Amino acid sequence: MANWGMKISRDGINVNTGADRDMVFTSKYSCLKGSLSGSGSKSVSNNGTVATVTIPHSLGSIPMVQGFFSENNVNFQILPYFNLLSGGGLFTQYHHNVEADSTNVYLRFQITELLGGATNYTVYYKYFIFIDKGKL
Amino acid sequence: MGNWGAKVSQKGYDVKTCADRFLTFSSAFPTLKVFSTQAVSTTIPTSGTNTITITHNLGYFAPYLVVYNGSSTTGVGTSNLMSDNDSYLTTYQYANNLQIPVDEYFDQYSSSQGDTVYFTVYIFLDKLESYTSNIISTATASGGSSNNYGFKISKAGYDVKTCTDEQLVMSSSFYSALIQKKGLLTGSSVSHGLNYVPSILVYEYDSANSRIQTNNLSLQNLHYVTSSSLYYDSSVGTGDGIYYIIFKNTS
Repeated sequence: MANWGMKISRDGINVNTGADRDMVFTSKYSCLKGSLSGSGSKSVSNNGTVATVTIPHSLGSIPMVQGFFSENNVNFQILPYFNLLSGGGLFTQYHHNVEADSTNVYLRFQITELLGGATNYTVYYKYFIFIDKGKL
Repeated sequence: MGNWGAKVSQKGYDVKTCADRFLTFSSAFPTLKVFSTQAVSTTIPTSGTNTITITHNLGYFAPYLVVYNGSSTTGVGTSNLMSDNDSYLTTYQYANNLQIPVDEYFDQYSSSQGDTVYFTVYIFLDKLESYTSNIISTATASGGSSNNYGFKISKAGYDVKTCTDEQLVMSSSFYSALIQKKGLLTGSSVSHGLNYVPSILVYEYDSANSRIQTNNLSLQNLHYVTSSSLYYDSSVGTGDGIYYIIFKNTS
């Protein structure tokens, strides 16, 4: 294989002598390539029923994907999120995760408050789907 | 330092006017670089732990992603990012290797002891050291363009004219993981200045064991990101802080 390609160093780094990790870009290493991204909200019943957001991706393979969720559309946390919280007399079980197959990405949200709470909660989400394969 | 460099916008955006996050590439912003991708497997033990160890020899903590691809019982048609079907994946990264311990309770409600379990692992080249990119434009306007210009670079060994999109190093047809800021957060927050909620990666730092990690404790309530800052709750987990990457990407 010929030694070809391109690399660009970051500010203050000599492109000829700098480490690959200090390059802004080097064709020696590939980048994650984003295909789709989006956001939205989903009503989730407070009874353990799984609420699923289905996102078709048309990639034909299982992709790498990242997801985030928020309860107030302000503070976002990384998915997955599995937790049992206690506070204010309530015990709340969260089971939020990200799945993907060769057709769709699935954001699954499940909330169970064992001692009451609202009937439904709105969960806000963001997702990033990459061309890069999540299953090699 | 002169104002020089190169940048390429995503297809459909005007490179001269679009916001930073609509660029595929800019010499002003580092991109997350894939050091290695691997498919690995082990079996769910009847007791104890089977640990998958991937040696990378980078000599530092680097970002990574692990996808659980399924088991003998569930099949491999559906994959989960950083979790099995029931809980977080526990992962440990040391300076020179990444470990995925699989114990008898792994995916316990969906798989069985003795099952083979499959994973896809991405390890990135970028060191989790302190770094902040400039912010050139956070405009909300897309700077849309109907011109279909662009570039693509193939991975070594692939013909750029005929290879699949997945076999490309980079393409202006897709967005890239442009790094806004990275480092170790030991205080309660770090601002990012983007004015929108960006994509992030976080890993708990365990100084006593000289590793970064993900597990049930490390991600629950440990962090959240807003349109101004990344927040960290030091009362959860080891209390040593979180290594983070804040990207320019948003949705």
